[in-house]
Amino acid sequence: MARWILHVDMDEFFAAVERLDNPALAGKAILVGASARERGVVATASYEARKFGCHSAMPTGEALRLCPHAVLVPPRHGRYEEVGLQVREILERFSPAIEPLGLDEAFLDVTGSGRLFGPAPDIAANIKATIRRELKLTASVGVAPNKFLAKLASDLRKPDALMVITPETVQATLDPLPVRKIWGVGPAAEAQLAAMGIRTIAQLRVAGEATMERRFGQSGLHLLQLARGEDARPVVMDERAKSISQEVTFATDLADLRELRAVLLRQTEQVARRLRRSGLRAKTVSLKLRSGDFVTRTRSHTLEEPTDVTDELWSVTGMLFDRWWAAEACPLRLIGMGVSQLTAGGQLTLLPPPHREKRQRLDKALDALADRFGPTAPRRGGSPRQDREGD
Amino acid sequence: MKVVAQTAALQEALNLAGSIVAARSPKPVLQCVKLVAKGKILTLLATDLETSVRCQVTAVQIEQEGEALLPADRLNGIVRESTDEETLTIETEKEAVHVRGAGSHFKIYGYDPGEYPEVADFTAEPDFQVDAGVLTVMINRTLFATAKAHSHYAISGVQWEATGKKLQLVATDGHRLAQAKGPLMGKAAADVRAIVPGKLMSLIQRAAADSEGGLDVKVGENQVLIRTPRAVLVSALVQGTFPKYADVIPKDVAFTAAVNTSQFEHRVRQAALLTNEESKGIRLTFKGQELTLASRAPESGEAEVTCPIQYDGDEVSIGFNPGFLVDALKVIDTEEIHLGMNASNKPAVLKAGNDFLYVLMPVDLS
Repeated sequence: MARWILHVDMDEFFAAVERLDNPALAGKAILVGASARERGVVATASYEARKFGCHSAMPTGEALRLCPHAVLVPPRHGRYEEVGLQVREILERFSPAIEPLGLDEAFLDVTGSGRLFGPAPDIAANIKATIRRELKLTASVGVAPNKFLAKLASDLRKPDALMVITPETVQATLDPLPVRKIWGVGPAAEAQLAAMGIRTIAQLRVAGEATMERRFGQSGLHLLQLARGEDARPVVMDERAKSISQEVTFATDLADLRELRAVLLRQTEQVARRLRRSGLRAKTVSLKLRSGDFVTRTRSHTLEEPTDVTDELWSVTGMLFDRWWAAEACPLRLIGMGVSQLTAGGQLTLLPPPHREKRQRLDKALDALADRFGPTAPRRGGSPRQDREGD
Repeated sequence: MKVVAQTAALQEALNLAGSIVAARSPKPVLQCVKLVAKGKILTLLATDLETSVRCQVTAVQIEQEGEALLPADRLNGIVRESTDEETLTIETEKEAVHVRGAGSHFKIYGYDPGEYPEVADFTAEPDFQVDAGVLTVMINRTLFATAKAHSHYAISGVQWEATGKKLQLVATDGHRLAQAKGPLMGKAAADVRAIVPGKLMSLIQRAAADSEGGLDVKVGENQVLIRTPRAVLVSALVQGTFPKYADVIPKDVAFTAAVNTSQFEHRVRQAALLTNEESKGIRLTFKGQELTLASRAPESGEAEVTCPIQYDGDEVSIGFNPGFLVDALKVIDTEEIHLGMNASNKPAVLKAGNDFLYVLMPVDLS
C-alpha cells in the first residue's frame, strides 16, 4: 500500500517566535543567537537577514558584518520548547505516527488518517491553517510517498509552502535538481560527483550501479535509490515519552485565581488528550509555578493507579494548585502541569474508580470535537479560549 | 501495685500488646502499656486509638492490686533481656516503677495510669464463634489482597460476612479479589457484615497463632471485638462501602485449565525472574496439555518454562502479574487448582477446593 508522509517544517522558527512575542520586530532582519563577544553563532536568521547572506550556524560577528542593521536577539530555548510543544500538539490531532526532528520539524505518517481527515494534501493544508490560526506562525509542509521526498518537498518552496510530490511527479520533480539536494550528499560527495560529470539528479539516476558502488561503496547504491525517489525508512515514533507537559508564560504576571485555574484546566485537558492519543496512562501529576521574581516551584502527586481520564487528572492538578494557593498565593509569570511515570498496557483494573466509564465517554466525545474543531471546540466549563492565554 | 510475674508469660503478653503501640507519638502516654493488677490476673492494655488489645497474664502472683503506665519499649526491652530470670517483680513507688529480678533492678519513670485512654472490653454476648485455626487460615488467604494505598472504596480492610453457620472473608485491592469460606462453631446469633482493618487481622493472626478452640466475635456499629482465651482485641471498623464484588466474579468461563498447585507456583516464580518494573507481566499460553509461561525484560533477557495441564479448550494466551499469582498459590493447600478464563482483558478466576476463590485481572502485554 502506498504511503503518505508529511514533513512539517516551521519557517525560521526561533526568529518567528521572537517576532510573535515582540511585534516591533516585524519586517526587521532578526538574528537569534548569542552575541559576537560571547563567540556566538546564529541559531536562526529571519528571511530578511538571509537576503544578506546570513544563515544558521554562521558566527554572529560575521552575520552582523553582512547585515549590520539586523536585530540580534538572545535565544530563549524554554520559550521555543513551549511553542514547539504546541505545534506538536496540533500535529498529534492528525496522526499518532510522528517522528520529531528537533523542536521545529517533524515527519508524520498520515497513510491511515485519510478516512478522518481526507487526502494527504488536504491534511497538509489543514495543518498549515491550524498552525497559522492557533499559533500565528507559518509552516512549510512537504507531502510525498516517503520521508526523503517529503523533506525535499517542504524545502523546495519555503517559506509558507505546501508542496506535493505524487508517485507520478517524482521523477519530473527530482530530475532538474542539483545532487546536493539529496540527503547525504555534502560538499565532498558533490565535488566527486561533479568530477564524474554528474551535477543533476537526472544524471545521477542513470549512472551505473557498478560505477557508483566502486566509487562510493554501499552508500553509492543508496544514493541511486534516492535519486530514483525511493526511500523505505518508516516514520519512527518518538521513543516512549517519559513525560508530557504543557506550560504557558504570561506577558504580565497573572494573579486571578479563577483565570489561573482555568488555564490549568485547559492544560490538563490537553495533556490528558495527548496521553489518550498515545495510548498511555500516567501515574504522577506535577504542577509548575513561576512567580514574577523567577522563583520556580514544583508540586507533584503520585496516584495509586495510572490514568488517562481528564477528570481524574484534573482532580489532582486542581488539588495541588489549591493547596499551593492556600499556602502562598502570589502572582504568576508561568504556570504549567505535566504527567510522568507513563505506562502503556500493564495491569488492568478489576474495580475501576466510580464514574470512570461515564468520564471516559465524556473524554471520548470531547476528543472527537477537539479533533474536528480545534480550539473552538466545546470544552469543560471554566477553561479559557486559547486566544486569552499568554497575551 | 506489686506483682510477681513469670518472665516468659509476661514477654508473650508484651509482644502482643507492644505490636500495636506507636513507636512515636506526640502524646507520650500512647507509647505506653498500661498494667492493671486485679484479683488473680495482671492485664496489659495497649492502644493506638484505632486498635486496642487487652492481654491477660495468669502466671502471676498479685501481692498488691493497682495500676501502672510504662513506656512499652523500655518495659519490653527489660523483659526481653531478662530471660535468665524465672520471674520478675514489678512494683510501683509514686511515679516510678521498679522491675526486679534475682540479680537486676530497673527503675523506670512512668505516667499517671488515669491518663490512659479507655480500652473497651468484651462484655456483650458474641455474635458468633469460630475456630482459631479456621479463622487463621481464612485470614491468610485474604489479608494479602487488601489495598495498601488509599482507594475510592473501603478496601483497606477485609469484608466479613457471617450468616447461618458460615463465615466468608473477602479482600480486594482493585486488581484482584480473594474470597475464603469457612464454617462457624454453631449458628451465628446475628448476621454480620463489616469491614475489618488489616491491622486487626494481623493481630488476630498473632493472638490466635497458638491458641486452640473457639474465638468469640462481636461486631458493633463502629467496632469489632475478638476474644481469644488470653486476650481481647478491639478495633474500629473501616467506614465506607465495600465494592459490590459479586459483580466482578465471573459467573461463566470459556476456558478452564487444571494444574498442580506447587508445580504451577514453581513455574510462575521461574518465569517472574525475567520481568522488571516496566513489564511486570508474564504470558501464559494454554495449548493442548501444556501451559507455557513466558516473560521478557527489555534489555535483560527472556524466560520460557512449561508445565503440564489438563485442558481441552482452544489455544489461549493471557498476561498476569506473577506476584499476584504467587500470592494466591502460596496460601492454597489443595493439590490442584482450576483456572477459568474468558479473554485476555477479562477477569480470570482461580479456584482451590470449595473454600477459596481468587479473581484476578490480567496484565495487558500488547
